[in-house]
Amino acid sequence: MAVYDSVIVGSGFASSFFLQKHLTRLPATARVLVLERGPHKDHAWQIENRRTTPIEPDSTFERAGDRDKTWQFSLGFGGSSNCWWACTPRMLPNDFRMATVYGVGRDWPVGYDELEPFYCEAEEIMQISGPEDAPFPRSRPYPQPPHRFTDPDRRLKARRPEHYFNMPTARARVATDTRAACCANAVCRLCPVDAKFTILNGMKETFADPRVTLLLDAEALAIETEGGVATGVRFRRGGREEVAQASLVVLGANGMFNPFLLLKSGFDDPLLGRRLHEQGAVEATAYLDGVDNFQGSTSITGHGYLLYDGPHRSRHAGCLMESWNRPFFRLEPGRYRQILGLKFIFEDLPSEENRVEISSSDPSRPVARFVTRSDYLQAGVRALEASLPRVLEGLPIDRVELAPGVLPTEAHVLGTTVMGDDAADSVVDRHLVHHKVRNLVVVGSSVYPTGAPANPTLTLSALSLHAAANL
Amino acid sequence: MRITRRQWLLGTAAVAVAGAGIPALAAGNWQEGVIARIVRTHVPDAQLSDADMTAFARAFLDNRGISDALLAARAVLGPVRTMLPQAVAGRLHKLDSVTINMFLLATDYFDPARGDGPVALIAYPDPYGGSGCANPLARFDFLPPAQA
Repeated sequence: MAVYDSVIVGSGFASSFFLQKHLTRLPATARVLVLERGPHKDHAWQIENRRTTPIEPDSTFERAGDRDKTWQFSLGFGGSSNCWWACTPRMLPNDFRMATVYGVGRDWPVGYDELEPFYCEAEEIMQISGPEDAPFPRSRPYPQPPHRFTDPDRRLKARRPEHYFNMPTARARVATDTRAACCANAVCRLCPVDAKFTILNGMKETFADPRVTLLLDAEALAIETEGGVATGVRFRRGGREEVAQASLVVLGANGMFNPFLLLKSGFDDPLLGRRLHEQGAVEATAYLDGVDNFQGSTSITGHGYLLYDGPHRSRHAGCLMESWNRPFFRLEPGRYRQILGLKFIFEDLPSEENRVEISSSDPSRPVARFVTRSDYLQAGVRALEASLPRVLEGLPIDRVELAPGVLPTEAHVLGTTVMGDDAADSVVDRHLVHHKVRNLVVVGSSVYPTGAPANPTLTLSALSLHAAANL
Repeated sequence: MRITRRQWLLGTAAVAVAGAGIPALAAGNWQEGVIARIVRTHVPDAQLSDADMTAFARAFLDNRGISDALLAARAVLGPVRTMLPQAVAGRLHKLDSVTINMFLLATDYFDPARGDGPVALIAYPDPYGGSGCANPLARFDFLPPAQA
């Protein structure tokens, strides 16, 4: 039986950012084991095979409830960093205080100010491109200059400078030692030129540290505990079961598998697996009058905050608007480029009936049981149409078409090991340490008490740094 | 008997081809002809050599895997698509839309240097082939912060 100082499950954002900070605080003699369920498929393999992993995510879990609701992630070394779109807004200060400010959802046990230095650190690691101004307080400039606006973006910015910004993104504006500059192919799920930050191109050195052992194709099966203390992780590799002992266990397997592994291990926290949710997005197309589009330098160039924060959030969901620079043309001679794709990403309020549980027919797999999105989100979507003229002021527009329905997934899995100050209604504390098993840390978006309209990856990465710094 | 949309499209294609009254569909490379007609319908001002048009159509068909049934349906029913059921009309519209999208990205249509001259095929826009950068409209100059 191998013995380590720490065992970390998973090698995506949450685990890797935790590992990076954790290593800075460990002695040279420390031993850290990282268990990764999937293989290491490098960028060349991914391009050749046009996919990020040989593991089909849908084969690893079951779905129940709303059959239209899907969930998306990538399993393998680097996790979902291989398939993300690299959109990296911070959450707004009020996102952490939804109950206090708007009387809905619940407050996070950590606040924006506490997390701010770790946001900066995560942005530095990912070499984020972003604007000089921002809708959230910043103590440092972004590491990279902003991506170029399109002409419609510039008009929206001119009309509402306080609500419209260049999207902060981990799609490189300028090349780094390991990444090319983004050239706006708009196929970011699998970037042809390796311009977006991934664990593979941005944190290889962390895994090359001599204190770290990375075991690939090693599927964690359970957290071993004894007398309220985590003693290690049982895992399967090459058809054989093994146990890695450690004095610290870190679970970063994603929002589907974090609660599943804890449930499989006999944990019985009241909210474990509950509150499964993610953002819901609606697409729209604006037909412009006399303004050409598509002069931007990346796939998504603008962020609109007009409908994000404000008193409306006490009644319905806020949303973040994205403006898209992926060329698709209008079928009207002379006006091909007078078209703008928009996406409105709404927050959802978690419900305990939406949950991850163990499959009764195949206990080796989780079930994502999702009954429905909240009325809060649906009310936000309903309110959108009436707000569009205000949102798009500054743009000459023929008409706007809203696509019917909410998209099936935003590729985020949130809320299933919720953090909080009270052990009675949360699974982990403000430092992501399990309330009862104090040498077990759970990282990733599964700890989110509420899911803001902002994409969650930057925040979960900052939370991992924060957790490792406070061990 | 319930007829699926696919069966309907295939039936339409079969009737069209078997009818032999439509010379376009009887020609050797009729699929390329359908693509060329879509381009000429929606981009009427594009003067393109036959060789470039054929090369574009071939590359488009090779890359997109468009079915012969859909192409035949477009050839026969395109002129009357406003009278078709919405689902069928939608598929034909999508074919036109994708074709024009690829055509405009594959050529120098938007290149200001072209002026009023003929349009030339530059490269089929495949981000996973060639240089890896396939968006000719993107601009990468650095603007002052206020306009970035």
